Amino acid sequence: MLTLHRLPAFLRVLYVGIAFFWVLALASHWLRLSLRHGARPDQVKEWYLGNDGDEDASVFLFERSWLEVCEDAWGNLFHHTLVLLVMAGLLVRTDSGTRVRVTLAASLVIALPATAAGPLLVRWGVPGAAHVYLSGLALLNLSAVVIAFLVFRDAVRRSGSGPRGLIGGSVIGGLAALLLVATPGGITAQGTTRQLMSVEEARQKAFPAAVRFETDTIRVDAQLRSELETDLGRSIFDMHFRVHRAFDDQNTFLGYSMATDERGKYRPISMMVSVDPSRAVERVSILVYRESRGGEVARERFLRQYRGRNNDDPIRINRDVINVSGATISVISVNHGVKKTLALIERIYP
Amino acid sequence: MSQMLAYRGFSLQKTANSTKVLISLFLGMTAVATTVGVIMYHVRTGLSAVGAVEYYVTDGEAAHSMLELLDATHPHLFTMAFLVFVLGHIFALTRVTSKTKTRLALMAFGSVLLDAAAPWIISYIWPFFATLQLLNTAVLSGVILAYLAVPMYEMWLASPQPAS
Repeated sequence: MLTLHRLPAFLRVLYVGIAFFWVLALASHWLRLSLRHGARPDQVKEWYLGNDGDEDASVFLFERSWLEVCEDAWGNLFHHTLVLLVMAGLLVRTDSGTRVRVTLAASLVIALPATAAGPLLVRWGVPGAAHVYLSGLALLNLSAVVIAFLVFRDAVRRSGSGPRGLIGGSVIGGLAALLLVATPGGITAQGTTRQLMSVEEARQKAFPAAVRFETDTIRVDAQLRSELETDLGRSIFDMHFRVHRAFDDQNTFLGYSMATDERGKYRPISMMVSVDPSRAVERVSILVYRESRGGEVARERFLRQYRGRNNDDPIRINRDVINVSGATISVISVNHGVKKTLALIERIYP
Repeated sequence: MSQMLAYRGFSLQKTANSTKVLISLFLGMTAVATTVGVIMYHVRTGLSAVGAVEYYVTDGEAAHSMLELLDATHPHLFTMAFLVFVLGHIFALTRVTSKTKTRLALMAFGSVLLDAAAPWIISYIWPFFATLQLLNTAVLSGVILAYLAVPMYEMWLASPQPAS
């Protein structure tokens, strides 16, 4: 069998390159995991099952939806299968002994289902699942590092030239690449629009005693835009705002509600911010959430943090508002929506 | 795919039409994906060094958290390396000299490495790197263009190879 060091240089560059980059990719997976929820089994468990009972938590963690868990499982299954196919293809072209090859191949084969099923098992609450998941990831990383080392040793350190060789693994790798291109949805998470509440429901929920709403349509002219942009320190793109003023049966003014959109990671998040007569936030409701991840910002446990905030509050993430882990951009978007509403009310109803 | 390299005198031109069509469709879809990638980069940064710095740095501080950067770097390392790996194999079947194939593969991987490192360097170390990143994007696009164009040319347009 032809080994790596006898192959043409351009093929050796390709094999060393893919091995090197995938070791980096697997290491970054580990680092990402550590930053996202920590690399201890109890932290992984908390990430998937949430920390609802922990009122002292420094960050909110909500039970992951099954869609999110399946995305994690699918991503691991797909990518780690590719790792298995290509890395095993490289392994058989190294000069390593049979025992080493069998051990490494077995490690990859064991690690693959452990990492793919891990998120699902942890979410199901299977005892020890987080340990199995993390062990699988560690085994996969370790095996990839050892294979990359063998590839580097045989393809670079041992010089030599010979006839053109046959790399079986890359044939499968090429087919897998076609699959990769044919399933673009697999790489980028698709958005899932969720209509959570209507404008009417949200404003009534903010002011239960309201029997009447008056709606003001405020056109954003150049002056208002400039003032708001100065107040907020960022650009705004709204052409107009609709503010609903609430009154009870005694015709007493109860407050303002405004529906607005803010850009999420990929798609806009629609929310309603309600403000009491003293211009403090009464309630924030998410009306439509369109992203595939980060929908936890619609939970009451998160949104109640805004109650009582006024235009003087900086409303900064991780300082004034506890972040939702894994939904940072959505939290920032809600912050923007709340600050925009408070600034507008201050300007229009002085 | 590299099994084909075992056949002396093999050329892409002589492969069966079904294989040519399969490879051509793959290359075509890769071209579309690459174009979309460049458009996405354009939307985010305006394809300018100033735009890239504005995207990654705000008020002298990194505009994106490490986790956000990793969310982009991790799939980037995986898919870009795999793309170069597969395109490099197809390019390996062309009549281009071995030296050129080696140089292009080195350029491609080097460029992918810089591309993955660029957001980190711009955000945390040296914003001026945005200028080099722009240059690097052009290099990577050029290599991918060569990886796409040369096999297509040899499959469909090149004159037949003289019999050896």
